[in-house]
Amino acid sequence: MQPTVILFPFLLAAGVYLLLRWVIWQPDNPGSAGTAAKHALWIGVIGWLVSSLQPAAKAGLIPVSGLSQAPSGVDLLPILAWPVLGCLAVHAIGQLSYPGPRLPRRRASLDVRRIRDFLPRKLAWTVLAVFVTAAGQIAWTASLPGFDPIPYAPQPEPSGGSTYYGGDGRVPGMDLAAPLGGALAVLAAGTFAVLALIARRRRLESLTSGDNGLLRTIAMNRLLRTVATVASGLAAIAGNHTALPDPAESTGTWASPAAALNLVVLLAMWWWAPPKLSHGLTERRARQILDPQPATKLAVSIGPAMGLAALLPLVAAAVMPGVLTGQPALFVALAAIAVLAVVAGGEVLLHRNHGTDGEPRHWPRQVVSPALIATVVAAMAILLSVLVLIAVRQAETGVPPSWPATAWTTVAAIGTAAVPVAVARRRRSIPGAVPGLDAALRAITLHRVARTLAALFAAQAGALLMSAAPGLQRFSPPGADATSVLWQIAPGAGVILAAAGVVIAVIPVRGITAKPAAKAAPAPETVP
Amino acid sequence: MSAGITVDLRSATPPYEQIRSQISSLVAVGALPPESRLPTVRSLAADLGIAAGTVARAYKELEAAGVVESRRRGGTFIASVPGGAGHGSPGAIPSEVTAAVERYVEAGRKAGLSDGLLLDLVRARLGTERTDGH
Repeated sequence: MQPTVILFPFLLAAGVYLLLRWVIWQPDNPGSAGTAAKHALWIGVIGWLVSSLQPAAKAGLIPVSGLSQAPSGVDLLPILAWPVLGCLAVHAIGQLSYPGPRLPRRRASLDVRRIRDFLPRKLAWTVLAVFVTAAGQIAWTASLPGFDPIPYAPQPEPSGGSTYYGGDGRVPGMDLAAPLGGALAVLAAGTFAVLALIARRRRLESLTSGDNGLLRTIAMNRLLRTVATVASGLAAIAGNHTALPDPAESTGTWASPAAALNLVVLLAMWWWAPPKLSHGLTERRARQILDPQPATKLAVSIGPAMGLAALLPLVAAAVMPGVLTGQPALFVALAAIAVLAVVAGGEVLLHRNHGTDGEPRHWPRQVVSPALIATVVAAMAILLSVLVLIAVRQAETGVPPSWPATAWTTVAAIGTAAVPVAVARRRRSIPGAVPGLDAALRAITLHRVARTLAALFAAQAGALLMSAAPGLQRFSPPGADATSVLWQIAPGAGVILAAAGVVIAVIPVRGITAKPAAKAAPAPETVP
Repeated sequence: MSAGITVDLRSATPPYEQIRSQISSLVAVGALPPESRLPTVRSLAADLGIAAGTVARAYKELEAAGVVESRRRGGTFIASVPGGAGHGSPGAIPSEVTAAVERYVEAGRKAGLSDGLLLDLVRARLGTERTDGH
């Protein structure tokens, strides 16, 4: 073993420690509320960056091409160790990098600090559920047999054509579940240890006891969110292994519900913002103090409802097993349709509960911001390009076409988008003490519709590439021609597009809404 | 329990003695009830920014005086029947003395006097009495 293998992690840890010390350090007032908030953010960001399980995404699969080998059980250990131990180490180093007291008169509480005193309960229960689900998925994977890869070969169809059968194989489930289960156990134990460290680390003398406690809650929030995504990633690796169909009976097209669930966990954890360290007020409390108009409150509350609606396909998949499995286009479109239905429902509620007859309707001067319009157009162009590309290639190679499902589900979602737009156009006006409130609320709805469509287009393009491109790669092996490299990177591009769709879906209204309307709004919305 | 202590590094009194005396006082006035757990040596030392050995010495002296007791794997707890250090159990302090202390602290705060000065006044008074032969 080379000395650098051992030395490198320590050098990296030292670098992270120095960086975090530099962030928290202020010669005049080390550890002030402002620097502590920045320091906590840096810990979260660095911890998140090192937690990627992407190199292990195809662990346990045996590629049919034989050109690229999936990591074996032994190879997998360092690949899993980096994100699991890395994110825990970053959070632990973060706690150790807080400055000690410097004033001659030192204060300390004689309270014994316990984890439960600072733990964000709802988040902790959610993370526990993610861990239990991940453990269940890995246990299931352990019970599954392996199978060998089968090279693709055409087989005649009763209709007269031929279909290519074959695909990747997989290792016996136990070979994959053992390292994944070990990593999950280390992650769980390490999380508990770092939580204990967060509870016990030294207090910052420039903060009040309340702010010190809040800072511990913030640190726990960031740690729990990160480890939840890692646990979910481990479950997704096991889920990919589980979902892989037997190549003797399939055409190579498959989708992994666990990977979709991983994306949902990622989104939920991204959304689960920690409280803010500012004058002892949490963001939620500060928002309550603003006490916006009732109509504005309703419009703001639609944001979380949209987030829940986006989870509808998961519920449908759980209630009706098999209906959505292998139908990523339907999955994505159903989520978009559910979100659009909630937006339309919000407009109906505004109309019924807050609208006034006889008031002139105010339409925003600039309906949707140019940036969002450009995003919609670009996403639509990408989707059309991907559709054409996949359709042509599948026709050339004789692979069963999968693009029509993407096309018709997208058209259905676009049709649904007309409903909230029409309701926003025709609903009664909302009188308010603040001029421009009515127009601002309509602009928010239109922004949400446009944002959902842009996210839909990007996610559909990504889902199509992820599901169809692996089956087409065998016709363009690396180095075959100039376009072969495009097919090799297509699944990766699909992942990026799907991730872009998720990011677009949560663009906040603030700053994107057309400026004239936003100027009139009394309390700009801050939730997605 | 929400009791706190302060350590003044500029004081002539050694830090371990400041810790010992404050914990003894908190036990005496009932702010630290019997069976309540004290923070670990490392935790308290980290919060105060002093060496762990300093806190360990304070705890050791408190244990020797019967104010606290160390339990294997359990940590350090206020003794069930605290004694030593001349304080007796919390119930042994007459209520009028406790009330007088509270009135003294309240009057001092109202006058804008610092905690250190309030302590110095008491020490000076006790010192005078000792010199007078009381």
